Amino acid sequence: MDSQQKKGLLELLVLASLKFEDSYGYLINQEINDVMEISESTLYPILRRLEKQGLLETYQTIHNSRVRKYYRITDEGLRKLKQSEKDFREMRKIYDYILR
Amino acid sequence: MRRKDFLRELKEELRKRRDIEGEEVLFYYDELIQDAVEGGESEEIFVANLGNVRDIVRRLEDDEEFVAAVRQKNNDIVHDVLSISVKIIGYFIFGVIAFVLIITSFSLLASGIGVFFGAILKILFTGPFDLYGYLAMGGLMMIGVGIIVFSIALFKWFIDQAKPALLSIFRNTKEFISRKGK
Repeated sequence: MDSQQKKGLLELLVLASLKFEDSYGYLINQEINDVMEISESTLYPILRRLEKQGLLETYQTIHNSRVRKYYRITDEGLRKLKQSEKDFREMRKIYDYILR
Repeated sequence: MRRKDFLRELKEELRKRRDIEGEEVLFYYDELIQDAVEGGESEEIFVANLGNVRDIVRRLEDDEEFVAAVRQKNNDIVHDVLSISVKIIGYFIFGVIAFVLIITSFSLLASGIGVFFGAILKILFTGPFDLYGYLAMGGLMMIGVGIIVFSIALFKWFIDQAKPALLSIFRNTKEFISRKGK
């Protein structure tokens, strides 16, 4: 797949991975890797960018006596995700037609 | 490489780049490696898969530029509107000058032709003249030719000068229309 296309999808994948529950770096990476293969170093810039855009927020918890950073999707992030879900449903028709 | 070594290398590399929030990056990778090890992965292999620190930092830099570019975009809209109005005023002034120059060269051409043929008609219909009369008519014809040549040269000069401007007007208009279309 075209890397630019992948980059755009990756942001949505991250948002989607946080749709139901908050998560942390390693787990997000694992989940996304089931769907799209990415290197471990790809995720950080994306998380950071989404946070800067106000689509994610972070908080810290203590895990095994060390700090772990959790990511939570914001209302704006959910809105963005909803919008893209609409787009994807539209695109699915196109894909289905191409792949028939 | 072990976690501690990787983080030390990363810290070293990040120190060269002041625009990146280094502490946050280090924290992220520290957590990531510890979580991976906790999840049963081999520390050595996981760290090796992270790639070399220079690439990691370079990627962060690229993203830094991207974030800056997003911020810049809003300013660009204002800039666009401004530059469009400046361009429109520029085109207006250009149009007035072009109009004056074209009109001037055409009226000069017409009067040159008028003087030239006027002198010929004068010779044909009101002659014969004495020597001075013919000299005067010859002089008039030459003045006519001179004005014609001057007017053509003026027009050509204007077109040469205006060619880049005309091309840029054409290009900008095309661009403006296609952008509006989006």
